Amino acid sequence: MNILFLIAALATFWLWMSPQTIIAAQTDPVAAKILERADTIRNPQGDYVVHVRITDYKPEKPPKVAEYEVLVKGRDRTVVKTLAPPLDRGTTMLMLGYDMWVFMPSIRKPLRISLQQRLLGEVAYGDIARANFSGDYVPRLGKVVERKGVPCHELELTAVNEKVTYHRAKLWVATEDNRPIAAEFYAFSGKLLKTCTFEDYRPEKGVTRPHRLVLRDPLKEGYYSVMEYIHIEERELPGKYFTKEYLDKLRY
Amino acid sequence: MRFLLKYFFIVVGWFFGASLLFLGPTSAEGNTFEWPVVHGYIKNETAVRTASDTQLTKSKNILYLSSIYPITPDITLHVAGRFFYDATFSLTNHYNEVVREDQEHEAALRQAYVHASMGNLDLKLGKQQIVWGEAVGGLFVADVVNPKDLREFILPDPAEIRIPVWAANIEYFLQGIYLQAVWLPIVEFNDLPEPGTEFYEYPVGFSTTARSRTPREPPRTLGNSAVGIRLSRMIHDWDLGAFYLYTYDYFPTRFLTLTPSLLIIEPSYRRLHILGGTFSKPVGETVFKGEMVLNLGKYFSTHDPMDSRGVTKKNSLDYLLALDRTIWGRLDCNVQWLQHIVLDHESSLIEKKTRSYVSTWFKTDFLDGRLEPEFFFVFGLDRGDLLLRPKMSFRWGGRWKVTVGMDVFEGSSDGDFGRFDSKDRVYAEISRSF
Repeated sequence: MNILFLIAALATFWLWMSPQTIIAAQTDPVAAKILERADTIRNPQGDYVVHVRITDYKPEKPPKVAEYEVLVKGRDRTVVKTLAPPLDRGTTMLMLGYDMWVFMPSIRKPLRISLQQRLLGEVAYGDIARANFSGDYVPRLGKVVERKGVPCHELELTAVNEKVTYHRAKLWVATEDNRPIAAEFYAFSGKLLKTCTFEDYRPEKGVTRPHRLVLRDPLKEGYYSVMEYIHIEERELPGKYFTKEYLDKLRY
Repeated sequence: MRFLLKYFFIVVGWFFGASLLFLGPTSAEGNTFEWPVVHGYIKNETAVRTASDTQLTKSKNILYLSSIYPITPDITLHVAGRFFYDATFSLTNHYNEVVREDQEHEAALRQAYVHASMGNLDLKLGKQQIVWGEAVGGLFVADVVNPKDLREFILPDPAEIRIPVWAANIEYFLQGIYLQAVWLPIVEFNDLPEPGTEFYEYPVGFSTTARSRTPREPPRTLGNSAVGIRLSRMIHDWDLGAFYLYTYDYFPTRFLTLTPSLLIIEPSYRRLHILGGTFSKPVGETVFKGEMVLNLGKYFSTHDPMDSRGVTKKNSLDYLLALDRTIWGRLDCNVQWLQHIVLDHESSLIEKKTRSYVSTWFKTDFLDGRLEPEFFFVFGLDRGDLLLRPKMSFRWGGRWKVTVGMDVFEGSSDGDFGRFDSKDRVYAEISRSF
């Protein structure tokens, strides 16, 4: 009986000390508010459609361009439609939470895939489809530093679970208005995977948002991808658009 | 060339004619006509047999056109057509007239349906593909609605193998539950290779002295239509599906008639009940998936003298288990286990009780995605036969794609793949998308 009690106690202690519990216990409300505000500036928080152009640059090579139409509903439902190049047109990706499917015209059925599959260049599917940091990461407020000549709050972000694209991230947001200025993304090993800068802030229906993200590979000089938001339209989107059975019906 | 031009203009003509028939107000501009935007590709596929006597077996030139025309914000017309001409029949004398008629040229409507979206209900009426299942690589288990074009065996892309059908397809989306009902008023059947074609194979288990008649299709009446339902739901991260289809077996049943001098094979089509299910679930970076199909009342050929027509009815089970994973962030992999089981098997059946297969597929890319090597392999465990399909694709300019590859068949002559042992081929394809 004593042994059983000890096992039960140890099990309870282990569950209580599990990563999710640890992260929850360390949530910083001030940091959480700053992160939410940054997300609101990055993207509309309701349903919206955004036309995205990704240009991939490598030294001494012509840039590669792809265009997508991204439909977003709430925090965790996204559809990415490939508009260009013509060879890939019609390929559609659906993300529900951390579950992903891809539809290819040559197969004509949705196939379930993992979040780690790459989209183009330095951009993973998770980069384009996971719209918000809050919800994916638990923030901790660090010091105030200057990035790109702008005084910034430094936020340390830790993934809420192993399914998030990056295990850890750092985000710098302007102290003045919480607009994102730069970010760094890390693997579980601590290796820096990519850096990101938020640029070309322009008003969009009364809200000033970044219209360009530049993602770089820190290990490869001259390797970077530019994600441009060509057009953002807020409108209600039917829930059925975000089902795998609807992927072959989306209009191109 | 005149008849080729005739077919070409028929394809292009009905394509735009169908669009013009639906002239009407666009969503926002009122009574304004807009030419539909046309996408598609032009492609050449050339293949040379390398085993036994080397010869050109295919030089197919393909034009594919597709367009979507919005009639109203909620109703769209989808049209696609394909035209091909195989120059092998002009360049060589390898094939007989029956084969030439069947495979030299074709103008086909690949889809022509109206899609109406009404809240949670969607309706698709017309010629379409209705795809169920999770398998890849040309191994069809739960993909049971559309018949298949098997004139080139399972080698073309799945979207090319499926024969579009005229259907009413009703779908209802409700709070994470998906319901589908399909009605195929005209049932179509698998397109099988004609005697003399590259992938024709005389029916296994039958004497070559037997005479086979043309398969007899059932009359195209409402009573011979097909109906089906499917339900799909996500429960936590399990993606589950179940379906039922009442249709015909798309392969003909070979009924035998014995005359004093001759054995005659009289193929015809028989009704079939199909029950099935699918699942997929991610575990870490691996996706596990599977599908199962129970065929109720399928006919099998038998040597049992008590079955005077040479066939008997059994139930059969087909199932597939697969896993997908991306290794090192670059190498996409798929492994599949597939088994076909004849339930309540008897020794007099020509078909064995089980047939088991293992397949693997790998794909990656180099040179910033411009070079894509790919490898597919399927092995039949019961007869030790296999199909190997290595290929390399080169993409450039976002529009051009060149593919070179090999299809290698090995093994026992009574195996599904080994029977084409002498048909190994190398091929090249070039396409331009627009």
